[in-house]
Amino acid sequence: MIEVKHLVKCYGQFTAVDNLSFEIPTGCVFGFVGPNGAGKTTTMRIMAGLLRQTTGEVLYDGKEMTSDRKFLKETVGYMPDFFGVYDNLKVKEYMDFFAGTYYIPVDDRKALIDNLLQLVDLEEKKEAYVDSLSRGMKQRLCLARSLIHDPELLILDEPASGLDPRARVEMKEILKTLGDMGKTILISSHILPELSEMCTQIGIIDKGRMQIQGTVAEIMRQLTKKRVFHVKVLDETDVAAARAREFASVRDVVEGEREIHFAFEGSEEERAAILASMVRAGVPVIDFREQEGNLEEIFMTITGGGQADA
Amino acid sequence: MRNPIIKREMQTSLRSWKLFYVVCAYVAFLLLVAYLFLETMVSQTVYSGFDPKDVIYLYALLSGIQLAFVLLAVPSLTAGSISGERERQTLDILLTTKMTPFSIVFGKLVAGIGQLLMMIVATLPVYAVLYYFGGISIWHILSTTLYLMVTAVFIGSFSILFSCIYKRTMISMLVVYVLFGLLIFATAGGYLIYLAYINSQASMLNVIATPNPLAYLGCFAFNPGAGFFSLLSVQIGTNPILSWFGYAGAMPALPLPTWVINVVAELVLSVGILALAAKKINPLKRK
Repeated sequence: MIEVKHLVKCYGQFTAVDNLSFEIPTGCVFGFVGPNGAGKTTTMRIMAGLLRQTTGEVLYDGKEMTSDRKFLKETVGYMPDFFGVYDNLKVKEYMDFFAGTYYIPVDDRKALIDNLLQLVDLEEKKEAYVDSLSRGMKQRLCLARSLIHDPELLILDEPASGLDPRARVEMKEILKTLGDMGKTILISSHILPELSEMCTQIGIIDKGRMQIQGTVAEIMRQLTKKRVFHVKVLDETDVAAARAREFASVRDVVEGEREIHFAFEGSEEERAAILASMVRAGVPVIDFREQEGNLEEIFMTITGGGQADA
Repeated sequence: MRNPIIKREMQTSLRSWKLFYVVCAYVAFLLLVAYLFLETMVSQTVYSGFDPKDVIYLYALLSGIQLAFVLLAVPSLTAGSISGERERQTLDILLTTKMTPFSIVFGKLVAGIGQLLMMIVATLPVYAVLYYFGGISIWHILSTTLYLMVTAVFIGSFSILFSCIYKRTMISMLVVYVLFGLLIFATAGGYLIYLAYINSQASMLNVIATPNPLAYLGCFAFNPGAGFFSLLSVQIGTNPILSWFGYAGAMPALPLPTWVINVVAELVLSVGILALAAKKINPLKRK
């Protein structure tokens, strides 16, 4: 568990991070969202040991990590929003160099580098020069580099920025795999809808303060106070709508062509009861699902329409 | 190799043709100088005879060119080391690794000096010309090379410090050139003024002026030129510093030769400067 407690970072009179507190459970993929200058990168740089906070603390399983340089470097893998590469260096040499910076024994490096390049789908580019790679490949290589010492916490600042849609999908897949491997990941992005698919939790930061934190569904619920459900049927649309209206927790039922949608403010048991009622009435239901939260809308609501960016 | 920066810098610089061309051009230049020197000496003495012991001056000339090369080349090899990482946006990544800021700046220095050492070693066969005539030993060449490398470390550590301070490589280089220009020439000028002052005082009292050792050390302890000429005087038997200042009393009596004092003082200061450079790039330093 990572706990950021009352974090403050001031540059003279300007407060970049203002009493920021949030928690990231172990194994969570945490999306960090906020407009330009909200304090995301500053917070991430503090957590990566690249900035000293003015006050506050960052705890990893109860241990203050920013004051313990050795622990921080072993625990955290950091990928900055802008990164460069070295000319005249091959992919495997680039990885070997960073393995050296973590003093990984030479004998262990080949297998480690092969595994990481396989993870980011770059094993075929092992002999290629780094500066000849596409931007997406460089991003993936940088991600592999940040994993070289097997960190428990990954801090990824805008890993999908500047990538074409295909490269973004590839990056998203890799991050999902890392999440499945049990890595705790803190990720910022201005591609807000993508975060909702990728992250188990999100936190929205504005003016250096955490505005809201939780799962996308929880935040949607808090903000909209209602959930919207979509039901697709093969036939009997009117019966499905009638059954839904029988429940007090259902409002605003709208009938479409072989589908209905309605607002719902009930419990999970009531939700199951609505579906059961439709099925009992002989309605051929083929899809019954809650409308997924849209981070873009959430973001606009919380930040008052601020530009979602790095 | 424990320091990965040294390995990487060597790997990338040796892979490029640039270093090869520079080494070739520099060796060719020294060969040309040696050829012209010998050609001139032989042609001018065709009737009066050729004195082989004058070839020792070719050794002094070649060593002088090596010193000038070190003074000019080291800033260009090292002044971009940290600012270059910053320009490439790789410094932050390096700072999050297990390498300490000191090991980063130390690796950068050794990598830069390593390239210079390669160039200096490549020129050693040029000195073989001198062996044909005799007068110098391998120890002369080795001690001069060693002194040049200490000078390179001294200049390199300042270059790296400025590279940590200034964001642009060109500014770092410029500041190093100005600093070492002042360190070599302004201190010599200052000592000349000091000598003129104590001589005028002494002549009024009708005594022989004796320079204060601290004034001498203050001017020359960190002056690579003074150390170089001191070493040369030990090797070839004449002291160019004394000839600069015109009389034997210009130098105070010191327990060690100037070049030994230089080597010790420059190495000690280099370590301090590197530590300061490391502090400059340490993101968690306390103000």
